[in-house]
Amino acid sequence: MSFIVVQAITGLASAASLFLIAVGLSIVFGVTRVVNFAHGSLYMLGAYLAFSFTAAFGDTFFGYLAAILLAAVVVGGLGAVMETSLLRRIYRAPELFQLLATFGVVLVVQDLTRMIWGADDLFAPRMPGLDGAINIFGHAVPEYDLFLIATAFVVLGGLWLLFRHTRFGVLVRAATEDREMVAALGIDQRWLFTGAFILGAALAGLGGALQIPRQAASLSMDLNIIVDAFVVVVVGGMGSIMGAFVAAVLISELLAFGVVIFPQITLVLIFAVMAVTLVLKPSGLFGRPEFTTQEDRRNPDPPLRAGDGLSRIFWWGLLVAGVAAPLVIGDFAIIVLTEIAILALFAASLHFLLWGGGLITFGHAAYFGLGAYGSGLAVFHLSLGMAPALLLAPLAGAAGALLFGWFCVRLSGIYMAMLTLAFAQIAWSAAFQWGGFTGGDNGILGVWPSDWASDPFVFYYLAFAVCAAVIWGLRHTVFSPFGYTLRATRDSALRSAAIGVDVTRHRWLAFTLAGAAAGVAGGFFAFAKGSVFPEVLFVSTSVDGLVMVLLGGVQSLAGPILGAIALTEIETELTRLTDLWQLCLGILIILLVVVLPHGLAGLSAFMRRRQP
Amino acid sequence: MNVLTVEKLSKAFGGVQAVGGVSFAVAPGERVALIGPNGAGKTTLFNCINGQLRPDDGRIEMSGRDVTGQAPHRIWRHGVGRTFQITATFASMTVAENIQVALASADGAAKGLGRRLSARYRAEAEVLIELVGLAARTEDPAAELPYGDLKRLELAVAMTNEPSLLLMDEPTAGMAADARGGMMDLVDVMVAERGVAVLFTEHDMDVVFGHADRVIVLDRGQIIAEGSPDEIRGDATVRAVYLGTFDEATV
Repeated sequence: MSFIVVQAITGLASAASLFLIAVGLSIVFGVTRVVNFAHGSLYMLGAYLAFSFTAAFGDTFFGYLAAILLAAVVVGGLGAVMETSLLRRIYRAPELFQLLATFGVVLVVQDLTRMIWGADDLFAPRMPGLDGAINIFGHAVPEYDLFLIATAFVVLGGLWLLFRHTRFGVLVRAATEDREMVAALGIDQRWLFTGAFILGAALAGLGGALQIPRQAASLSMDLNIIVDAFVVVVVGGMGSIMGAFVAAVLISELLAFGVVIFPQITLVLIFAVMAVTLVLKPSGLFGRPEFTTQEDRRNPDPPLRAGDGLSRIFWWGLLVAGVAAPLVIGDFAIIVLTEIAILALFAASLHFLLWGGGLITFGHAAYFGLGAYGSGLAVFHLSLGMAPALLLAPLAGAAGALLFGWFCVRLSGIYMAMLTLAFAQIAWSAAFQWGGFTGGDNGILGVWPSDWASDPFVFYYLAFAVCAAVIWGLRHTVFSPFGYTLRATRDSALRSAAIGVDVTRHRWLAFTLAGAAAGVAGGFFAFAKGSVFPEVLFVSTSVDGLVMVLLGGVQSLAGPILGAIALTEIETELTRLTDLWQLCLGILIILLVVVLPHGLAGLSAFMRRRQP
Repeated sequence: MNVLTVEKLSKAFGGVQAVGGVSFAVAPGERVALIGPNGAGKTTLFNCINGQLRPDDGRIEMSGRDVTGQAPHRIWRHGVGRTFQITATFASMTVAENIQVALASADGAAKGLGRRLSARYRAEAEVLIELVGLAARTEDPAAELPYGDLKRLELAVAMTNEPSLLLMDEPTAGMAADARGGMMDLVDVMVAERGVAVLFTEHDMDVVFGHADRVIVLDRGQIIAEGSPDEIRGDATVRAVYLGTFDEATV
């Protein structure tokens, strides 16, 4: 009994920070309809700032408290800068662009934080006056945990008062419930949006600052917390404060007890909670269903034109270049070229879902990574040769997509993006946690091609031939009845159902097909690198894929190929020149979204527009 | 056998009984108008029949088969074509492709990975395009069609599975008054040439009295009158309930 109480308190203490960040995310979403990926970066900045402030004047209880609050205020100010300089420009952009642009901020903040505070974890002293423990039923419970829980309730109460009894709060609630109505009332929305963003940012900063006595400030805390926060808002329901609170408590308690009872499967528990919630109530425990339906295509794509002169020249030119290039380039270039062929397939499989089906996935790395692990594990555990191991790759990718996709295709828009991301991160964590099977952090080594393909040129031609064939297959699928029907579900789910299409099932099949294609790419990636590390499953891999698609131009079938070539080249060159690759990539993403939303393929139109 | 039989259908939202025990039938080739003041339960009844809502009670049969509570894509398999109050078409496709996609689905080939869709069902599509008078628009993107043409395209799409019943939710909504007659004449052509029955809701009384064989009047979730256009025009209850609220609304 006493153990249960103590464990519950530990869970509540973790829930406190999770609540603070999730509620901020939720408030910002409610008002602006933007899911701010960089919310985790604001949390991280809160922690780093609090570290510096407590070092300066945190020797006493009140000094420490002031340091934490000051960190929150400064992060709120940074939020104001972010809202007015970036978010304001993308409120009308598609959801995917909003997510990507804010992910660009994540990358920029990462490198800036590393420049300012260094790469090492920073340990802050405990809070003076709360550095002891209280004895509860014979167990020592840190005083600070109780302080955290109390803080969470104070914030919850404060938010309740704010939303009930101030004009600002009432407007925020009104905007969350009916944005058009608030606009029609003649309220200055810019002020409201900025205000809500500052509030959300300050809450994130507070959540981060409050963490430093419990955990070190580190460069990985931004993405770790944002994924947890996504899980919380998906389970609790977007835009709901109560939802954020209840879900944060639910998830944290589940983890607190799960770690003790089934330490190996805490991830599976979270997966199960999410799955059950989404099946029973797709909009989350306290969410509103209207957020999940969207059938708004103000700028429909032009109809597909198959094989006109120009595109035929492009595809044949690409094929000839791919075949001829090894004859003229050196040994290092052949490795880069192999990678381009593989990543082009990865990007094409993502594009197939994104453009061909309107399915916004932010976790495509899961299927790429499963393909890589499928091949790697087959070599490592079963001692299979390259060819059979490569055959397992699409099966692994498809199996993962079949399982995750079943849930994902039931949602749409931003919910789908967050859920796909959450699943990919779960796969990533599983690769870490399940060290005995996957090699964990050390990865799987020695995944080398068979002797006949060990020459880089031979391996290149193999990878090129297979990837080109699968890309051609995906392209053909777009023109087939299956592909047209998929695009039909994107254009109008209502009409699709009315002509007998099982929309959910069709999307699910497409998801699985794209997962299999990404798996093929992943399998070749494993053999190209000779190893598999958990990073292949990480969100940055998903984002690389998205950047390739956007860079090339999302409305063009050639886009992902162009994007893969461009991004790989840029990355190869830039990493030679600077170690601030993330910063450059982040700025590139933001520029892409804000300035060049149609990618390289849309560059010419952009140039024309600029000329007077 | 009736193409549609609705028996004691009920649907409530919270405490509000939107449809309370409605029964009627539609015979093959019959044109039935469903009218009633705002809030009468027309849309709810319609959405129960087309599968968007699951009724609380009652039974829906199509050509003798029980389809109660089936999803919209299954309802279509029973030979039901639908048009919407606000047209729903595939904006990124041409007129021909819109119809080809529907024909592929009718043929059970929606999951086909083989031959390109643009080369399939072309002749059948052109017949339907001709029938609704869009031949000059065949290769135009649906996104560029004027609204009246979109309505025609939607009707052609709804006809792809050679339906025995068309469900049309306000077929002339959003159209200019002088274009409505043309649209309904087209529907009459479908009835005459293809033998399809039509169940439609409508606000425009000229359309109702000019193009329905039978009119069903709904008020507060109940059928209050049913009969030929002439009978309905002369029905005192209908005048009191329906036209009464109409008068109030226009005051």
